[in-house]
Amino acid sequence: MKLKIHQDKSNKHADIVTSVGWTSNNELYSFGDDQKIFRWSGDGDSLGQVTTTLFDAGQSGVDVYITEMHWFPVPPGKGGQTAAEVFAAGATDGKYYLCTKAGRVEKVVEAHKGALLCLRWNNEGSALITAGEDGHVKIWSRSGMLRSVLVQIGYPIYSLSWSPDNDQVLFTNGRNLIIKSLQPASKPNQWKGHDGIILKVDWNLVNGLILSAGEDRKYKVWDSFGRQLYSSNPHDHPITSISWNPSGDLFAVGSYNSLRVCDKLGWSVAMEKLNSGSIFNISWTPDGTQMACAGGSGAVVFAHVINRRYEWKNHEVTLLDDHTIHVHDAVNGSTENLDFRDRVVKVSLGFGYLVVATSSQCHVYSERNWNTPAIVDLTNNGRVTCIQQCPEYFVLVDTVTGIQIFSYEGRLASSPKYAGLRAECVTPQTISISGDVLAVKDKADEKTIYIFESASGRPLGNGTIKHTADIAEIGLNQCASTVGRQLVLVDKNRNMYITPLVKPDLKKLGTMVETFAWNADTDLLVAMMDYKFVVWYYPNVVFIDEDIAPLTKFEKDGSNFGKNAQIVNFFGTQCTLRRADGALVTVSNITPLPGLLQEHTRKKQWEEAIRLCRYVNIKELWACLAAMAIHGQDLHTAEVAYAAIDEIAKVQYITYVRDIPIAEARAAELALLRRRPSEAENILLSANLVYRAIRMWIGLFNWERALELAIKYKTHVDTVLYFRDKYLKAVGRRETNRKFVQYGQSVQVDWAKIQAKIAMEEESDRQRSTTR
Amino acid sequence: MASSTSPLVIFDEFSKLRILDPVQFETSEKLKEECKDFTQRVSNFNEIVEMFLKMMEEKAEQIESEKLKAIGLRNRAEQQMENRKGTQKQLQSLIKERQAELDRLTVQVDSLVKVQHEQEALIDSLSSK
Repeated sequence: MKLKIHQDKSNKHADIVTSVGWTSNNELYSFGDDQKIFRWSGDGDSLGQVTTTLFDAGQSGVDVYITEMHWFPVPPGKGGQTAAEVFAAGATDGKYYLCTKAGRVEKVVEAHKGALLCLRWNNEGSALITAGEDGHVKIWSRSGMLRSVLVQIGYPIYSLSWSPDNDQVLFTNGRNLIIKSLQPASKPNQWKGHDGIILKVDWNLVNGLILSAGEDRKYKVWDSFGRQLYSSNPHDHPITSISWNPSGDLFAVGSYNSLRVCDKLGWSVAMEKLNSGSIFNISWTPDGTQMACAGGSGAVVFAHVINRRYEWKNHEVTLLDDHTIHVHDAVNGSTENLDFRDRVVKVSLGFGYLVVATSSQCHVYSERNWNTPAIVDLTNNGRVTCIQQCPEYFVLVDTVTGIQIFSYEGRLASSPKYAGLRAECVTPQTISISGDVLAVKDKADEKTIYIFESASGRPLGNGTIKHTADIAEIGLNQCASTVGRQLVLVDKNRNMYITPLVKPDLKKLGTMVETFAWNADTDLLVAMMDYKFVVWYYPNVVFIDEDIAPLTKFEKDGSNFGKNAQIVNFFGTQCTLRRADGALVTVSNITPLPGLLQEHTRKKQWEEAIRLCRYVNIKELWACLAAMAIHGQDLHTAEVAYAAIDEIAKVQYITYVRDIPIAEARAAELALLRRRPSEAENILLSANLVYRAIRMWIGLFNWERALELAIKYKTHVDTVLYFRDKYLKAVGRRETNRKFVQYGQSVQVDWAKIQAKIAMEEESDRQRSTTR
Repeated sequence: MASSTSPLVIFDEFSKLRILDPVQFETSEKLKEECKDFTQRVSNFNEIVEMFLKMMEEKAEQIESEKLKAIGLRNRAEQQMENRKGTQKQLQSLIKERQAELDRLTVQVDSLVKVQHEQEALIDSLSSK
C-alpha cells in the first residue's frame, strides 16, 4: 500500500490549521488560527472561504481561536443524508459553538475555564463531550444543555474519545490514560500510557481498540481493557495526531512533516514525507478511502491510500488509485485495467469473482470475463461497509439498505433484516455467508448471532444463536449441506466454540485462539492457538466422539508466526498468515487427504474411504474415518477404523451394536456412543422400545429417569427396583430416595418374574427383527 | 616706531602717491597673492577630500552589502548543514520504512520458496511412484 498525497503549492490558511472535518457529502472544512474556515472538495480543490459569524461571536473582545471541531454524526440507519448539518467547534475562550454548515452560529455555550481543548459527539449524536485546560470533562445534550460533569482532575485534558457503546469515555491525564464509565460512582480505569504527555487518543467503533500518541514520540495500540497490543519505536518528532479509519483496519499517524498509515496491529503500511509542519488533526472520510490532515504551516493535505492488493489463487488485484483497478493473472500473464466512473469504496476477490463497490454501483466481474461486469445499482446514497463472498453468493452491507445477498449474476437473492443492524460495524469477522446460511453478529447484544437462509432471507430455526460471552469472530464452513452446516465462533476471552446451526449446541474447541479460518473447499478448520498452528481435520468429531477428538487434530509449532498472527486465507492445502509485523507467511502441505475422505464419506463410499486410510495409514485419518463412520452410521467402517487406532473398547461396543437386530436400537446405541442419552431415549421411545430405554437408563445409573419411564409406561417398575436394590447392596448403602422407598413398599419384586419378563422382551425383539 | 620715523606720504618710482612703504606694499601684494593661492589650494584640497569621502562612502556601502551577502551565504551554508541533517533524518526514516517492508517481503519470499520446494518435492515423490 502507498499514500498518494495532494497538497496545494501555496497554503490557503495564513496560520496553523487546527482542525479538519468531512461532511457527509464528502466536503472538507478546515479551521485555522487565521480565523478563517475553508471549504474543500473531495478531490482536494479549494471551494473558497466559508463566511461565518463564528469569529465575531466573541463579543467580549476576546478573539476566538478554534481548537477542535467535530461534525454532528449521521445517526445510524439514516444513511448518507441528513437535512441540517451542524458541527460543534471548541475555542480558546472556553466556549463551544454549534454552527450550521453555512457558517451560522446557532448556539454558544460557556463550557470551561481556560481553553476548551477537545470535544466529541458520541456515535449516535445524542451527546457531546468536552474537556479543557481546567481538567473538567463535561457531557452536554444535543441542544447544548449541561448533563453532567463527569470528571474533575488537576491537569489539562488534551484529547478524549467515546467508547464504541457510548457508555464510557477515554481521555488523557498527562502521561496517563483514563477510561471512565458514564455511570456515576463507577471507578475509573487509569493506566500509564506514555513517557511523555499524551496528545491524542482515538477509540474505534468497530474493533474496540484504542490508539494513543504522545510527546515521547511513540504511538501505541491498546485493547479496551488497557492492555498494550503495540508500541512503536520512538520517532524523530512528537506524534501530534492519530486517527482510526472508520472500518478499523488502518489508522493514520501524523507527526512533524510526516504522515504514516498503519495496520491495526501497529505495523506501518505506508509513510510519506510532507511539507506541512506538524500535523495537528487527521480526519478520514466516512468510507475510509481518503483522509485530510491539518498542518502546522497552514497546509491542508489530502492523502489517499492506494495500491491495496488482493490475491486469490492465480489472480492479483491492485487498486491503482480510486478509479482504476489493475488485474493480473499469474498463470497466463494477462493483465487488465478496469476503470470506474466513481470512487472505488470496497473490493473483494474470491471464488473466481471480483466484486467492486463504488459510491454508486457494484460491479461483479467473473475471472473468465473482465470486460462485461454484472452491475448492481446502489441507490439512495448508501455506503458499502463490507463485502463477503461464498461460492454461490456475495453479501453486501451498506448503510442505507442494510444487508443484501446477491448472486454473481447480480440478481438480488434476499435482504435479511433484523432490528438494530449497524452497517458501519459489520466487518468480515462478524459476518459470514455460505451457500445456504448467512450469520451476522449482533452489535447491540454481542452474545447473539443472527442466522438467516441465504436464498430467502428468512431466519433459520429460531433465528439466533446465543453464547455466554461476547463474541469476537464468527465463521461458517463452506462445504457441507445445511444439516452439516457449522458455525465456529471465538469469544472475547479467545475461546473457540463450534456449533451446528440446526439445533445449536456449543462445544469448545480450544482456548487462547488468536485467529481461525475454515478452508474454502473442504471442512478443514485451522487456528493459531497459543503459539501453535492447529488443523482440525474433521471438526464435527466433537459432536460424535470426543475421546478421539485430539487424534483428529494436527498441531505444529507456530512460534515463528509470533503473537497476534492473523490468517489471511486458507485455500486447498495452503494457508497464508499475516504476522504481527505485517509479513505474509504461507504454510503449505496441509494434507488434502481429510478433504478427500470427507468427500468419500459424504457420498457414502465407505470402501474407498477405508482403502484410502489403509494406503496412507496415519492415525489422524483413521480417527477421522471412525468419527465419519459413526456419523454416517456405517458400523463396519467404524469397527475397522476404531481397530486401527487401538480403541478396543469402542470396537467391542460396535460389534455389540452390530449384533442388535433392531435398526432403531442400533441408532440409539450409536447416539449413546455420541454421549447423547436423551437423544437415544427419544429414538427408543418413538420406536416403542420402552424396555430398552429403561435398561439404558439403568445402565447409566440414572435410576430416577428409569423409574419415571417405568411408571409412565406402567411396565418394568419391579425390574428397576430390583436393579436398584442390587446396586445399593453392592455399594453397601441404604435407600434414601423417597420415590424408590415409596415404590419399594407398594411393588413386589420377584426375580423369577422379572427374568421371565426380560426373556419375553428379548423374544419380542427377535420377533420384531424377523418380521421386518 | 616706523610710522613715527618714516614719512606719511611717499612717492614711488612711478611717481604715484603711496601711503605705504613700497617695500611693504610689495610684500603685502605678495602676501595677497599667496593668500589667494592658498585659499585656492585649500578649496582644491577640500574638493579632493570630498571626492575621496564620497568614494569611501561608496566603497563602504559596497563593502557593507558584500559583507551582508557574505553573512547570508555563510548562514545559508550553515543552514544547509542543518537541512542536510534534516533530510538525512527524513531519508533515514524512509530507509527504515523501506527496510521494514523489505524484511516483510523477504520473509514472504522465504516462505514462498519453502512452499515451492515442498511442492516440487511432492511432485517428485508423486511422479517417481
